[in-house]
Amino acid sequence: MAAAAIDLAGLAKTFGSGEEAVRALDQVSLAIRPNEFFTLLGPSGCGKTTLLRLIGGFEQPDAGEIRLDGQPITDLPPHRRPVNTVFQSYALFPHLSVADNVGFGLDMLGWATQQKRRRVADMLTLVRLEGYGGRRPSQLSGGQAQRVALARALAASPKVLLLDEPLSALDLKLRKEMQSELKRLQTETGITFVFVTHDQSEALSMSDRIAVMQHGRVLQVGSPREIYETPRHRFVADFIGEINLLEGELVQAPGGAALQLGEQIRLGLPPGVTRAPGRVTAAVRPERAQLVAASHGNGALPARIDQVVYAGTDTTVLLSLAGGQPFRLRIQNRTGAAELPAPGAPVGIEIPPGSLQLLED
Amino acid sequence: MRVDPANRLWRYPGIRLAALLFFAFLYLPILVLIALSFNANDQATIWTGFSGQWYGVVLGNDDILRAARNSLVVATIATLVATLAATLAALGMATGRFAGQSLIQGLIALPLVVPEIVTAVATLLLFALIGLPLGLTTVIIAHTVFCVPFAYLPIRARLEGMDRTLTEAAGDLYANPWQSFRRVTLPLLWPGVLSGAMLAFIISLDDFVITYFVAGAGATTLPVYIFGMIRIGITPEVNAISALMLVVSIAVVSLSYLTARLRQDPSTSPATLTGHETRTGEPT
Amino acid sequence: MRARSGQAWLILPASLVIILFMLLPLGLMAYVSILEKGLNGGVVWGSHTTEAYLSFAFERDLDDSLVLNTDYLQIFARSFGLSAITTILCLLLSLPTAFYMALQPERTRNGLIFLVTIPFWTNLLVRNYAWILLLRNGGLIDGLLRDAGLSSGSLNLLYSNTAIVLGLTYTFLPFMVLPIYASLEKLDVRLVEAAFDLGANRWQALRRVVLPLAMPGIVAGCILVFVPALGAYVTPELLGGGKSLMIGNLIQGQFGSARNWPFGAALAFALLAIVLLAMLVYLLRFRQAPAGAAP
Repeated sequence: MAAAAIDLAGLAKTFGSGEEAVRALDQVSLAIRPNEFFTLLGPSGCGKTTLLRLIGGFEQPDAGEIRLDGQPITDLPPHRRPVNTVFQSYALFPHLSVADNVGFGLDMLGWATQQKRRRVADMLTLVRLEGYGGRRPSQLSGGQAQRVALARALAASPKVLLLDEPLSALDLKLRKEMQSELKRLQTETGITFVFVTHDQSEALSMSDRIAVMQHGRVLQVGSPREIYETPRHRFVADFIGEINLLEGELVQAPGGAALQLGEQIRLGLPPGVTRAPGRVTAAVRPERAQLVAASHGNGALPARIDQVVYAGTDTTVLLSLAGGQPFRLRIQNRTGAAELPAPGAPVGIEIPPGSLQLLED
Repeated sequence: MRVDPANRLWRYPGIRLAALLFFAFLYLPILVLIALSFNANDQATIWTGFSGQWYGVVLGNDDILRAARNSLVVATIATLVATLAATLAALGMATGRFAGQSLIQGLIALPLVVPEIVTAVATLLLFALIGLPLGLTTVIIAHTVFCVPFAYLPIRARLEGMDRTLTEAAGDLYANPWQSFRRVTLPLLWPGVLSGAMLAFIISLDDFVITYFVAGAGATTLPVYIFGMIRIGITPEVNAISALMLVVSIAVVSLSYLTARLRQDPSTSPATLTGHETRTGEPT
Repeated sequence: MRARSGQAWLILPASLVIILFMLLPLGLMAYVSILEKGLNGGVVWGSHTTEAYLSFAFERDLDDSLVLNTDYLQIFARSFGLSAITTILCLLLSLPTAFYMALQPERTRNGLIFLVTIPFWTNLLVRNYAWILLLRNGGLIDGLLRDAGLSSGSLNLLYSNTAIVLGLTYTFLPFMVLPIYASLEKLDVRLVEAAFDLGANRWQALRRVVLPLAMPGIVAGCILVFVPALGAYVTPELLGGGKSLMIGNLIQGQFGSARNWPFGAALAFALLAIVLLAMLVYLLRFRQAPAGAAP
């Protein structure tokens, strides 16, 4: 594996003091790889923006170190860091034209006029805004302003591009469009992107890797697939997509580790479980469970259908388990699929062994 | 409150008439004064015909011109000093929180709160104590003090309305703090500074009470001179010079108002006028 | 943003200007008010006395005993009375106007605010002079009434308490409209609509919901009119013709012909005390935003 583009080691940051102190970051360590589309995902207040601002140099960490290509940059002010930011509000300079905005960083770096002009034109082409150089920021639509902010941040070819929820101000259609645009830019420029968002679907569809954050800590880092399919924490499982949680006893059965629910039900767990027996929480995605007949037998959870919600591509079935806790199950709508039992009908839920994921708290 | 004026619920009979009377009360005296300044008669209040002759008389009066010159000198210097101090103060107040900040805010607003006559007395006593002879210098000092808050307020408002991430963006784009100030903060602050300077200028130009106390014999400003004229008698000359002062004040204040709103009005977006296919030239 | 409190020195020049030439003089004034007056004006430094404050209500008899003297008390009473009437007049004129402004669409209100503020920026003397033209015998009002046969002979409007009240009202009107408008502007329309919904007619809604919520603005307006009216100098001087004295004229007189600086300083200090007291009361009462103000 290549050396990390950004190395964060033991970063801590607290805002305020005394009673009002808020711990924004708590011992965060991360290695972001070169050319990676890396996403910091979490609810508001989880510390993701603070982390981004530390990398950008807008805040100073209380402890820890930030290295860029192996060089420590922790004490450098923003203007000495080869890192650029796309701000949530875009922060386009209202008194400068689009071209002057894009060329601002080049100006500060002392580029020659000719070179700068060519570069600005190239950047505007890159973001598909040829000919917009003379406009004022106030004359741009939201999507155009977004592209100008991107062009401006990419103009000086930074080692890393930081994006602070850049799509949050756009409407849904434009957001989808900009998502693929961002992905294209990242591939074309080969620059490492660090992207902050609270939108899990955005994170899943765009990222090479995702770090899920909560309360100033990184809970899990992994590819979108890993994060979605093998969440390790209850919070991660809950925050990304929909999930059913099952509490039970971890037992060692002849066929390997299993989850014992009540007296009767025993569900197989994926191989390789090393946890000691005891109370555990396991999770299963709604689309991984299957609806079977009530008479199915030992491997199925007895349940009762509460409600059937039809949603076009799929149908969600809301059920109650024997103990009363809710369970959610999703079925693809295929041609010729059998009619679902009516609400109130007793059914069984089958969970394939590989679909059950043990969670740490 | 944001209401639809056409909504029947919000129709209060008589309120429109009351507002109309209010504005009539506010502007009638001003309009009468301006009208009478063009009176041909040498009786100040009896209309006999249109004439601009009294403006000629005013502009030919050496004493008035000398007083006007004093006023301009005082207003210019007081405005420059006060605006500089106010700009620095606004910037200092905007750079984060520090102890005693609200105390400073109150200090800067002090000249707005204390009645003019009290300020006048206090300032006069100070000059008497330190033995500074009354003259243009004392007038300029006194004016600078009360000009500071007038210059400060629009600048502060402009700074507060400014997006803080803009300076962060400048830093992010390799501008050091000084470059960031010169290339981003200052150009955006400029309308506020100009607006504040104009307000300070007009407040200085118009001041009478404080000037009356601290101006020596040789430092008669235009308002002090006009006061003397009014006390002697009502003449068409006073009408003309009063109308002139009125027009200058209104012009400068309107200008200040327009300047402060500069580039803050996003309603005129030519993007919608020119269409998206318009090709503007590359920057030169 | 990192707090760069290192740049706090930027506030120094402005602070120094105001401390040296405003705060210090006010302190000096307070001190002078307890000094003995000099024989030919000025003061006797180091010789302290409460004489100036005593002379608000007393004078020295030939044998140096204190005798009640109501001359100044009458001036105080007139000042308070005229200022109070001015405040009430301003309030009556401003309430409907401020409400009317708040009901207008955005562009119109900005225009109206501008129209309200313009006279404030024009010269005080000129504004009062315009009223001389209107009020004097043979002036516009006098002439019109005579032509209409409503009066015979001269009304003698000018140089009266009426003229002073008119002039003061005219001078301080913007100080009343703007705060009231500001508090109305912040008002959440849904509160008034809720009143309508609960069966209030529009006048009941106005009285029971709008007015109480506009109270901070109304009180602020009253203070902003009453206090400077109390210290007015130009209006009583020009429109009162010197015969209807107010505190401001009395103060000025102490630095002019009367040459009694301690007394003038004491009067000015008393005025300042009233200002500070009014502000304190306002802050204590209305510091918190009232419930119902929209965010």
